[in-house]
Parts: sequence; structure tokens; C-alpha cells
Amino acid sequence: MTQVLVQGLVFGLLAGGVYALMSSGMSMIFGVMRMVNLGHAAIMLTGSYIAVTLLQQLGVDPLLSIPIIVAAFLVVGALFERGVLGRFIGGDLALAVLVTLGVANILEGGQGVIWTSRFYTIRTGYSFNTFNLFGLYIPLIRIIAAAEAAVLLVALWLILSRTNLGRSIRATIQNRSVAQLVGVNVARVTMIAFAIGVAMAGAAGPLMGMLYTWYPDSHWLWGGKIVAIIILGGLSSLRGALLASMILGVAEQFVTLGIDVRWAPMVFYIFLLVVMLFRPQGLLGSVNRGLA
Amino acid sequence: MSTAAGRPLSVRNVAKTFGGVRALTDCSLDISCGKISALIGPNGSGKTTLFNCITGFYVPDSGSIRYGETALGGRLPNQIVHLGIARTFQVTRIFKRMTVLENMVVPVRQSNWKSLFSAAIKGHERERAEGLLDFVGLADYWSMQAGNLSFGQQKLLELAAALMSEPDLLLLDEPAGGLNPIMIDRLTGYIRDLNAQGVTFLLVEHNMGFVMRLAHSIAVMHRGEVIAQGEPEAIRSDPKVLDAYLGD
Amino acid sequence: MRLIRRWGPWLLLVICLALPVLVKQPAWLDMLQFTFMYAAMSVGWDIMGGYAGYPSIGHVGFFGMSSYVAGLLLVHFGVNIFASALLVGLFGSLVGAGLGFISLRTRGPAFLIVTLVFALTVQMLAENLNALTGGTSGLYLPLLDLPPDVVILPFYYAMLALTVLAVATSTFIRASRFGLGLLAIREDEGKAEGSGINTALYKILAFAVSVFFASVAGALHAQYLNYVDPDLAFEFIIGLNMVVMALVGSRATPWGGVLGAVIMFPISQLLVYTLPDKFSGQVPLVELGILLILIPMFLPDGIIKSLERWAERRRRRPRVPSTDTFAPAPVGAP
Repeated sequence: MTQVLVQGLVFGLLAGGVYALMSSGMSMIFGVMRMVNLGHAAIMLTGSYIAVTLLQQLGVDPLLSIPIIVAAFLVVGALFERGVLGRFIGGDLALAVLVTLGVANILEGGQGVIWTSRFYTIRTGYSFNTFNLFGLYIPLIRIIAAAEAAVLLVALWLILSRTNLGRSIRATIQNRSVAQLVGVNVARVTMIAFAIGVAMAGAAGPLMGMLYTWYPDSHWLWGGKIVAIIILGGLSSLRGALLASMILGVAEQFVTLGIDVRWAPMVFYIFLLVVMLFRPQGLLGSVNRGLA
Repeated sequence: MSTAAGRPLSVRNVAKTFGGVRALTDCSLDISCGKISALIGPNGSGKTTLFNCITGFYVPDSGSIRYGETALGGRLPNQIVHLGIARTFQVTRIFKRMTVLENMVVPVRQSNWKSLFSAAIKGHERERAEGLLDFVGLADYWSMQAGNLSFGQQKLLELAAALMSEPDLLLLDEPAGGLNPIMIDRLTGYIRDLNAQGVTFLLVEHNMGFVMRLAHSIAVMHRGEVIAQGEPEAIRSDPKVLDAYLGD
Repeated sequence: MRLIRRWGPWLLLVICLALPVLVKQPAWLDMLQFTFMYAAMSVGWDIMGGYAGYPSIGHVGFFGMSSYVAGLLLVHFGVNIFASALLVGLFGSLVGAGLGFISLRTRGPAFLIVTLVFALTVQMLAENLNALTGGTSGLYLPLLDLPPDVVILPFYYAMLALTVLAVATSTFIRASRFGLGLLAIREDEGKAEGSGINTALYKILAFAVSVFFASVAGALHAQYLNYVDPDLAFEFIIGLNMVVMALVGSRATPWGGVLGAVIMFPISQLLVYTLPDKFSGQVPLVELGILLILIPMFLPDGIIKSLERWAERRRRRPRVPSTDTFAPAPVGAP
């Protein structure tokens, strides 16, 4: 019994780390643009596909493909925000959301054309090694993925807390109009924050791919989990997203071990339901009627 | 226009904090009905936050707000309107893509299921709307897209629309802000007329001349609490008030 | 122009009613039937997404859920779907009201997220509750006892009726106080709330009405296919089509979804038939995705409203009334 509990806890926290990386980007994008990026998970899968292709065609280890993906997505993300998405922010947000929906579908369709709808996963030489922690056998891959996620999250945290850019981003998230009044170039900050957000999503792609299998349609499933995480954590609270990722990661593990892996996503949805009914602001969000 | 006896508004020890910023600390205020009261104070003293708490846009962390016998704390803004309290906003808010007339007809004091599905603009409502538009001098603009009105006209529209719900208490947030002296005179006239008909006013204002001319009672806020409340002359010479304005 | 506005819809209705008599080929009637279905669902979607400004990406969840509910009623209780469709629609509205209660009492993205998660949840339940739904193998429905060249007719007329109901409902809402309130919510929800509008109630009601049409369509569609399965019933492209059609036609107008369906459905059918099988699933996604980006960028108001605005500019009225919200002519004009 304790074996199960410990495994659930450890595996869950490790998975939670990867979830945290996935959801940090969406949380930041929401904080700055006040809009849910429906294309977030599809962008993540694009990263997964790039990593698996680099691995299969050029033998590049998925961890090495992460910097490449981050760099590429930063550029593409910034261009997209400047060229397309930016014009809807501060105006008709409903249209902005629909544009991200469009991105999700273009990516899904494109992925289907290039990689077909067969299942993919990322298998490296060390995919099957395990690490023995006091009698608990943990697949090395889970530790590596969580560690890499941690590295990226720490980098994000450093940017947000130690740099001027980070300060500007945090100010914009807290109150866009006040930030503008004190001299923050909110348009530029929005573009950069969006770019970082999608880069985080892309970086999470290879990590997800090392742990799970996927096909183009999977982005809806992942998207559902990610939005459940940020709602539980409290919209636009990055710390909340981290906390919620851990909680849901562990809960999902317990359901997988105790009930059935097919019901695992349900955990996310049930948490979402409970949060919406009893604490809509999430764990670390602020109570705000959103009307003022 | 409703001349029903209004009720006194009493704010007691209201506090409101936003993640580290204590916007209201221990705020208490009394608004007698039938009077024009003004709320003044340096920027950041919590005036608009107090408005938002009274009108349901924020939920106070502690303290109580009563309108007559009725507790307001925690009620939704639309419920507050149904109690007879209406407001305007510091940054004028109107429905820019709707016509002036449509803007007028949106506010409701009561609504029931039957009226929900009736025609959008019924005869008697239209008459009332036109009457109010006439009152503020916007009668000719009824079919114009509200966003095309000038800044001052938009402010007047916002005021006129707020009157549609027949409020007994009207909260105006910086009604004179950005208006030229002629418009301010007009506005002063409107407020006096409405007050004579029984509407109680609570204004937030920075324009001291406007406030001194109009208000029967002035409350001064500083750092989230009311530090003085009384007649204009008394306030003008109150040392605490001078300290608050000059000390910052 | 006024003549077209007044009599056009009736003429169109008469033509559609008479069409099966003139056009005997089932293929054409079939395509029209689908066009009606999408038109109805799109007009329904618009009630929430267009008037209130709250786009939903979970309508397909109601479509699929209703397919199952109607299918199960048929299989286990022998209830004919044409008889149960409206009731299943009302059940969908009830569920919609429930979802609305959960997510619409606040502003913000909660609604969008809850509709998405709802669709995913119902699909997951359909896949995994094997005993009830047949799981991934699906649910087989008894065939209608009609000769092959006639069997399309009940679907044709049912979907036509649904479209008529949808357009009528949308028109009614637009002209009512309820509709004015929804538009106010879209313009500035805080201001609407501060004007005395019970925004939560209005939104919940709008959503409940909005999902009715997708629910009825789902029920009828199940009978059309004689089969319900978790992949087909919850295909996201169904929901996507609803959204794009409303966008193309014009949001917040009763006929927007109809125009959008009429323009887009034949095109998507063409794509499906001419493309190699390998791409026939993906290309529509890319096509819709591109439209979801291009239309907000270049034609954000959709076709109908853009045409109306162009017509107004040509007539050069001295005081241009708002063409964005209400009746094309200013309210109260002679």
C-alpha cells in the first residue's frame, strides 16, 4: 500500500513538473493578453513532432532539440503576435480566441498531412533505464523530463524576477493600464510574453513526447488538461499553475494506479468542476468579479 | 422622476485590500438622503474603490454598507441598481456601437420574465428616454451611434442613461472631469434640478470649485479612510484636510 | 430592397419546401439537408457567440451527447427519433443551463474552458462507459422503414424546420429586450451589470437556447447515420464549422449562419470528394483554421454586415445609424 502511495506521489510530482512547463506558457499568455490560447497544446505537439523528426532523421537527442525549438518558436511567436494576434488585444478578444483556434487547427491539419495520424513517441537509447530510489523503480526518462522542465521553469523564473523585462511582464499581468501609465511598452511586452509562452509550450513538446504517445488530435486532450490546471491554479498566477500542476499530477497518478489509466483525464475535469463551483478564483487567484 | 423618499447610506469600517495594496482601511461615511454629498481626496485615497464597494463591483473584505435597512455588501451590481442606486464611471462607459436611444433603453430598475421577451423599445420607455435626452440636450442625437458623440456628450449620455433606472441615489465618479467651464455649468444645473426633485447625490470630484458650489456635505478621504466629513466651510479650514493634501 | 427583406425569406421557404418535388436526386437533397443542419446549428451558436460575445467551442459536445441520448432512447425504449428530437433538444438546453450556472456567473474565460472540457468529458464518457454506450464500437440504430429514394425526405424537412425555428428564434431575440441586454453584455459586461441587467441570468438563458439547435441536430443526425460512435459524434470539425459559418455570414445576425452554411458547406463537400483520402480529413481543418485567422483580420464583421455597411455608405445618409447592433433601420423610423 505505501508502495503505491509513494509511487503515486513520486511519479505524480515528476509528471507535475512537465505539466507545469506546459501550463506556464498559457498562464503567462493569459496574464498578459487576457485570452486563452487555444492553440497552445497544438504548438506543444509541433515541438514534439520536430523533436521526433530530428531524432529519427538526424539522430539529435530530444533534449538537444529543445534549444532549437525554443529559439525557433520565440521568433515565430513574436512574428505571429506582431503580425496577426496583436491587433485584437484590447479590442475584440473573442476574435483573438478564434484566431488561436485557427492556429490549433492549421497545426493539427498540417501535422496530419506531414506525419499522418499514426501514433508517435520519442524513444532514445536511455528510454528504458530505471533509477532505483529506495526500492522504487523510477523510469529514468521521467526524472530527466522533470529535471529538464525544472531547468526551463527556473530560467523563466529568473527572467521574470531578476530582469527589467520580467518586471515589465509582471506589471502588465497585474494591471495593463497602470503598467502603461508608468512607462511600460505594453505592446512590446505582450509580443515578448507571447513569444516566451509559445516557446515554453514548444519546449514541453519533446518532454511530453518522451513520456507519452501522441497523434495530431491529441492536442485537445492536452489542452483540456492545461486549462484545467490554470483554472485550478488561478488565472494569471504562475505560482498557482505550478502548484496546480503538482496536485493534478499526483491525483492523476493515483487514479491511474488505483482505477484505470483511461479515466486519468477525468481527474482534471472533476477538479475543474469543483473549483468552478466552490472557488472560481482558483487556489492562488484573486477574487474579482471581473466587472469593474 | 422618482420622488420617493430615499434612504440614508451608511458605510461602516469598510476595508478592501488588493494583494498588498490596502485601498480602503477603515472607511466610514454617512450620506443623508436628499442631499448632494461630495467625496474628495488625493489620488489613491480610495474614492473609486469605495464607489465600487457600494455598487457591488467589489466585495468589501470587512465592514458594512447599509442603504436604509438593507445591507449592500456582497450583492451583485444589478441588484444594487434594483434597490435604486445608479452610478457613472470615472472613465465614461457607454455602449459605443449602440445608438444613443438604445443606450438609454438598456438600464432597468425592475425586470420580470414577461418584459424580458417584449420588444426592445416600447412606447412609454421611448418617451421617457426622449424626455431625459431632452433634459441633457441630446434629443436630436437619438439615432446616432454613441461612439460618435463628443467626449462631453458621452458624459451627458452616461448621466441620462443612469437616470433611466429611476435611481434615488446617484453616484457620479468625476462627472466634471475633462469638461469645459460651460459644460460644467450645465452639469451643475442638471444636478441641482435633479436634487430638487429628490435625487440624492454622492460625487467624487477633483474640481474644488464645482464641489464647493454644489455640495451640501463634503467627505475627505485619505489613505483609505474618511478623515473628515462636514459642511464645505468647515472642511475648507480643517487642519487634517490641509495636512492630507499638502503633506503628500 | 425593403421588398426583399420583407418577402425574401418567405419565398425562400416556399422554394425549399417545394424543392424535393422538383429535384429527385437524393444526392442534392442530402447536401441540402446537411446545409440546413449546419445553418441551424450555426445560427444557434451565434445566439451565444454573436449576440452575447461568448464564443463556445463545446457545442459539438451537445451534438454528440444528444446523438447518444436519442440513440439510446431508440434502442432501449423504441422511441422514434423524430418524436424525441425536440425533447432531447430540451434536455440539451437543461444541461447547457447547468454548465452555464457553473461557468457564467463570472466573466472571463471560464465559459470557454468549461465548454471545451464538457465536450471532452462527454466524449470520454462515451468511449469508456462501454456497457451503456457500446464504447468505441459504437451504437447501432434500427433503420427507418422507408424506401431508399424517399428516406432522405424526413431528414430534409426536419432540418429545414430546425433552420426555420433557429432563424425565427434569433430574429425574435434580436428584437427583444433580452437581445438588447445580450448585446450590451457583449459591448461592456460591467456596464451592463451596472445598468441593472442580471448578466448571469441572461448569459445562462442565451446559452441554453443556443445549444438547443445543436442538440436537436445531433439527435436527428444519429438516425440519419443509423449509428453513433464517439469519434464521429464528437468530431471537432462539426463545432468548428458552426463557428466559421457564423463568422463568415456575420455574427449577431439571424441569417449569418445560414449564409455561412450555404457558402461553405458545398465547398467543404467539394474538398472532401476531390482530395485523395489521405488528406480529406486534414485539409478541411487547415481550411477552417485559415479562415479563422483571415476573417477576423480582413472581414471581421462577416459578409452580411459588411454588405449592409457598404450599402449605407453608397446611400450616404446624413446621419448614419448604427448598423452594428440592431434593426437595419433606426428603431422607430417610419
